[in-house]
Amino acid sequence: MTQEVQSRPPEEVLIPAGLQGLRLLIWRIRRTEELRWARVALLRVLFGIVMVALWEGVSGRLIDQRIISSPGALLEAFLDLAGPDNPDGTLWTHFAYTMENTFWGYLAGALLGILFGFMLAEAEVIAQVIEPFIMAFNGVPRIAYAPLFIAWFGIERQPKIILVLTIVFFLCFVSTFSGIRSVPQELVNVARVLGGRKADILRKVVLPAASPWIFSGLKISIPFGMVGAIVGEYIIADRGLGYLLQRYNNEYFTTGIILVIFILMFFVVAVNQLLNWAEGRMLRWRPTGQTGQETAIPN
Amino acid sequence: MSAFLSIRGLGKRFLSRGTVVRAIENFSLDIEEGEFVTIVGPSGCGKSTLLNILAGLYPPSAGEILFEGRHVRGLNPEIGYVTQQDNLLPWRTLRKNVLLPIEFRGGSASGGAEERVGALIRKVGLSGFDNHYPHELSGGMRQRANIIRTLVYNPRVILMDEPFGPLDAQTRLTLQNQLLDLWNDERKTIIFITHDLTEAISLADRVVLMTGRPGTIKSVTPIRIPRPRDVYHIHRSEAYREVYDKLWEELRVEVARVM
Repeated sequence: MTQEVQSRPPEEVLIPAGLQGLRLLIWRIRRTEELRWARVALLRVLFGIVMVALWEGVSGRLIDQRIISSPGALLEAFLDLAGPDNPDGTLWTHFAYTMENTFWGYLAGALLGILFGFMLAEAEVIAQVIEPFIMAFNGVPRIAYAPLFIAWFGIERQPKIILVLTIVFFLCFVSTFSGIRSVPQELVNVARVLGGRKADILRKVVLPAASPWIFSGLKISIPFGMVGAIVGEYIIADRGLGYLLQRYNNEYFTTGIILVIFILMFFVVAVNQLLNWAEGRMLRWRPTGQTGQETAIPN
Repeated sequence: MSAFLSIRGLGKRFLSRGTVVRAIENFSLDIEEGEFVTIVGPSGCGKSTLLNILAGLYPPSAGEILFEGRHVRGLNPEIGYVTQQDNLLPWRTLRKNVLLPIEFRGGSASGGAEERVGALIRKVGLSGFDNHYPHELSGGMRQRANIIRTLVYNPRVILMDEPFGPLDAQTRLTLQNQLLDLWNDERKTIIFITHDLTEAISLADRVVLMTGRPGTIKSVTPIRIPRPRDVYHIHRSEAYREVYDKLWEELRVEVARVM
């Protein structure tokens, strides 16, 4: 965050002298902006440290450690679970299992969702016919389908992947669909007059214009997709972070539960950062402040 | 023998909230190749509808369009259209925006095309902004980019829908001047819509005045002010004032009728 702050405005020989003042002004504003961000970042770290310290201080003194655990206990449990001699697999095994299921479900769901979003956005009548059906299917909390998926697809990976897939599919479908619908007709008309054929217009006008929407669909799908994988494991599994949660819950092992929560937290934040970065690069043409950096992580 | 571009008995009606709206009625005009025609009229008189039909985006309800004697239906690749909003693609740089029609039309983006794009960018004073995105350009710059994006593929007719409408007065004059220069070099046929009488007179060979809705032709006035014209000082000339007064009297009646 604290990038090296330049001590001099970058040299610009092309700009005439009159504009040099304006440039300098912009540079000053940008520099204060950077300083402001450095301060925010520093305060964030401090805030985190204070919270952890408070937690450690309160735990076992003011509040029972069995209820809120403590950072120290958490670290201990982490090292223990991450260690090599654990009877039913290390933390890594569980993490990998959940992430693999999430990954495959996410990949298939995102591809299908974007594809269907495109197809239906182009097929007005079909879209109108099936819209209420889609909304009905999507409106039901996904956990209600879980037993059905288990009955259909067994107790191995498949029902978990399918659960993730259905969640991600709808999020990506809806965002792609509305993204394409929101492409201004004037832009398409201009492209037609300029000589664009349907396929060209789709590729060079519609797809880029809809890309911010598609991106936001991909982004919110990550935490929601993980919910699918974990719920699936929570119901029936012998591995995975969801399975761990369910087991720790039965054992009243609060530290374990909080540990899993933290692992999920770190993962979602890291992936979100990665996507923000990718989005920022791909959507560089947007005016600043519109790259979707501010999108909150849903629960 | 028909004219280069012949509009015959054009009409457009459409349904709006259950009632039939007559936007344009019995619009007939012959335009010569290389001619600069401006169209003025009160707002809502169907000027933009007329251009949309000429561009081939929508079919007319009545009448026909002949291009070099041939009946035109749908999009005509010989007709370019500069819209009021610049409609540049925000994810493409200025240069890539101007190259778009060449990509669409299958011309390779190499050699000649690149050169032509560069030359046009220089001609309208946008050198150094090639790699800027539209949001980094001013309104006047974007509109210039919009115009050369149409010029780049050499359509023989260019339709312009109040292209300088959203710009400030000084920028407008500069762009009018540049447009006249470009027209002088390339002698395209231009049909230019505006609601600004001064602009209509400074640019045109003929000014077409439209009535309020349903829009039809009220008068066609040849402008005999010699070229090259000086858009900055044209309002001082006697010929300008004469034709301005005549047109304003006619337009005033139509505006009053609509308001």
